Amino acid sequence: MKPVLTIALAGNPNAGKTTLYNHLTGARQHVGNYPGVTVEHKEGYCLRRGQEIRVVDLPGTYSLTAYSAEELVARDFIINERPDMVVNVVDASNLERNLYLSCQFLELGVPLVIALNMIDVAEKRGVTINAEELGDRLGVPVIPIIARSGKGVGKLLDAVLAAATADIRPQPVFLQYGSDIDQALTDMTPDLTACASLTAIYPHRWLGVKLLENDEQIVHKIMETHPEAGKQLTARCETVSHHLQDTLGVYPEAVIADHRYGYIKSILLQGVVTRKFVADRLYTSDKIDKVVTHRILGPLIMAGILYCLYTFTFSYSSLPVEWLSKFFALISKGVDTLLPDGPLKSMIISGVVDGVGGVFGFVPIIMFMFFGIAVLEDSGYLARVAFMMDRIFHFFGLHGSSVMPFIISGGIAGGCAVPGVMATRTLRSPKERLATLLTVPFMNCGAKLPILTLLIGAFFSDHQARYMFLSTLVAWLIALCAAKLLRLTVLKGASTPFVMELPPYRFPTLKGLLIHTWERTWQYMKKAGTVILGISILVWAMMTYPGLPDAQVSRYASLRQEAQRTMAADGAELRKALEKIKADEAREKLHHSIGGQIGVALERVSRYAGIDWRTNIALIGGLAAKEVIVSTLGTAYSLGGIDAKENSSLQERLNRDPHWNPVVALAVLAFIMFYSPCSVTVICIARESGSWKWAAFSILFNTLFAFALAVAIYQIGILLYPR
Amino acid sequence: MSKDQSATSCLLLSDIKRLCKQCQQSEEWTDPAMTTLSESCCNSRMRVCAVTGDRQTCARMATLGVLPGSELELLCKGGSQQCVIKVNGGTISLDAPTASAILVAPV
Repeated sequence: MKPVLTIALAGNPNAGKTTLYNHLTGARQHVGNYPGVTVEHKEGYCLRRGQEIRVVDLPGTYSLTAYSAEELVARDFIINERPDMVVNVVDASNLERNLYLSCQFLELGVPLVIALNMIDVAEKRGVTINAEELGDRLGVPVIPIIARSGKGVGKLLDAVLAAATADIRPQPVFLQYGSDIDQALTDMTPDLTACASLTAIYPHRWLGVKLLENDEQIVHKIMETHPEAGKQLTARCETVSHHLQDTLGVYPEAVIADHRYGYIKSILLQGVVTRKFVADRLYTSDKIDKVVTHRILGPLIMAGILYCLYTFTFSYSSLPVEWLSKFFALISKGVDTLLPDGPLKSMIISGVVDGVGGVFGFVPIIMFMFFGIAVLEDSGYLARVAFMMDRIFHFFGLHGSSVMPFIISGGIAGGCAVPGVMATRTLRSPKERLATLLTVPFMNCGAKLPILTLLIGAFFSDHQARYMFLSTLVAWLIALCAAKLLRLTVLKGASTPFVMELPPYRFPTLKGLLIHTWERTWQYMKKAGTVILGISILVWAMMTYPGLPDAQVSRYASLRQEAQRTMAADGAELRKALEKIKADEAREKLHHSIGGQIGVALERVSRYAGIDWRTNIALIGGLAAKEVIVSTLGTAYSLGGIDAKENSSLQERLNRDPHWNPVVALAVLAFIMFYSPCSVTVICIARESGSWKWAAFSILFNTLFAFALAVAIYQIGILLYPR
Repeated sequence: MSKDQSATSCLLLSDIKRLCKQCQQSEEWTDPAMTTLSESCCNSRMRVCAVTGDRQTCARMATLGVLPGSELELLCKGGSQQCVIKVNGGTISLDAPTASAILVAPV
């Protein structure tokens, strides 16, 4: 017996693989990505009869042909990593479709055990399956299980251990695909035999079938390693393909699929399945779908559910957010009391605690949002939302599944782009996924709301609600148009057809929900929490160094002494004068810092959009986190450390400032709404897209776009409303 | 285990050769009984006559069991002719272009 036995869980999407995986591994899981692709790689460990078992959860697939990244990943893992056993999770209530994949495992000749999941659902539908008979017919162990409750899982593991210790490598099953294909496969044998390096890895006949199915990866491998034989083989495949198109009007893969389904039907009809009711009758799930995906009722129900999700997330998470903010304030206070004044104290409070606190402040929102999404996902509703929204999103070059990331990122103002970017994982097409994750930061996230409220309140207070609503609509419009632009230029390519299996509605399990929520939240905390610390310290340093020259410091000290001397009698006046000196010193310090100098340098360009150096500093701070904009603007406008919530005085200040007017406010608003995403989002974009190139693109593209928009607004504005 | 069980089990495509290909060849393609899935009425069982479109779409549909000769049920339609169908016990949603690429006839 091996010290660790590796088993791969494979199966159709929604067959219950992940439920079985969660049951087997519990909290002992590791989630990562397969190298080079953003398909999730999950593995964990379990113990059975003293044997340690490594469980790998492969992505859900319908076939083993390279039609998608998931199918490629699953196939490559099974062929290259050669797990000791493949456990094919099969949905007993949808046996015919699920056995299609099993059929391909048999053709590949991998060691296989079939886990016949959801046997209870099948029974409720009046379908009785003779698992033993099915196992005999397929030649592999078939174990009925209910992954949700864990029933039969022990037996499954015993069967896996027994089959693994039997040490017999199964032979590929020989299926017939009709005279045309079979003849072609016979003719191809000599050329296939010549491809020795490939036949050492793949079975002969399987290679031939994949060539006939026009599997891009296999065709490429053969042409690369055995170009001569490859030419002969592809020519033969083309002949068969033309012949089948001329005679039957189909491609070879349709004939092959037809024979596979025929093989499955022939097995099921031989006493494996008995039905109480008529096959393919409508079940509760189908009846619900008739209402939920109705062309008029469907969108109304969807709007209601999304509103509930939003309310749930933002109302219930507000309390833990407040607790966390109090907790970090307490730490700040503690550090303030314990450490002596100086750069170390300033760095710990402003750099470390504020920076990390800012990131961790999002954790409750992310946790609640992902819990809500997990409910929608596990219950099967998310697939229906994607279906209904596909029509609109398709027009903008996106996919129906893009809707959730957009909503989470602030589609209904107040979301967060970080979970939004992470939610793009549900998208399968790489280009549509990239277009989605590059445009979701255009939405009005919760961190942009204080600055929107501040500027709209200051300059458009008569129509505050209307402008806030308008900003949400504009965010949607710009994001969708930007997606269209990206899909027409850098992410050019045909739209992926929206073909998606709608899973039956199910009650999610609490364990599954908690695991899904935790793994996503933990990823956020781990990935963003470590890098943000560095960025936060960097921003702090930029705004702190170099300090004021000694001459200036002593000038302010003497001003203070002067004030204390002359106004000693009037306490209120003295306090006011000291605050003014403190604010002036803070502003000058900021002007003198690297951040301030950059702000001044940028003013040469930013003035075309009506943005001055002080706003520039706030915008630079906003690169770390958008929440910083209001507080930095407060500092820059000589108000010292302004709290985002206590912005009324800043509002008045901006309103009175000669530089500011409604046109400037509108230009600044547009710039803030659409410029570079915050650092955490940028890091997430890099992680999710698998490349820093896209993260850099997102910073540049968004900033340039936002600047162009702000310049247009400002220039047209001053033409229409000259000062 | 019997290895060659599929040999006698699959006659569907030869049915299609008779049902659909001859229709095409004898220029009866505009048979009123045959429509695209996106133009069909809900709640009815249909037989797939042909899957048109690019090779990958045809292959994808074949994998899901939507291939000439197979039977499906059109459950409902969304705006702009999207469809939800039931085939081989599973429920599949299709966008408008894919639904228009599937030619069906009533059973």
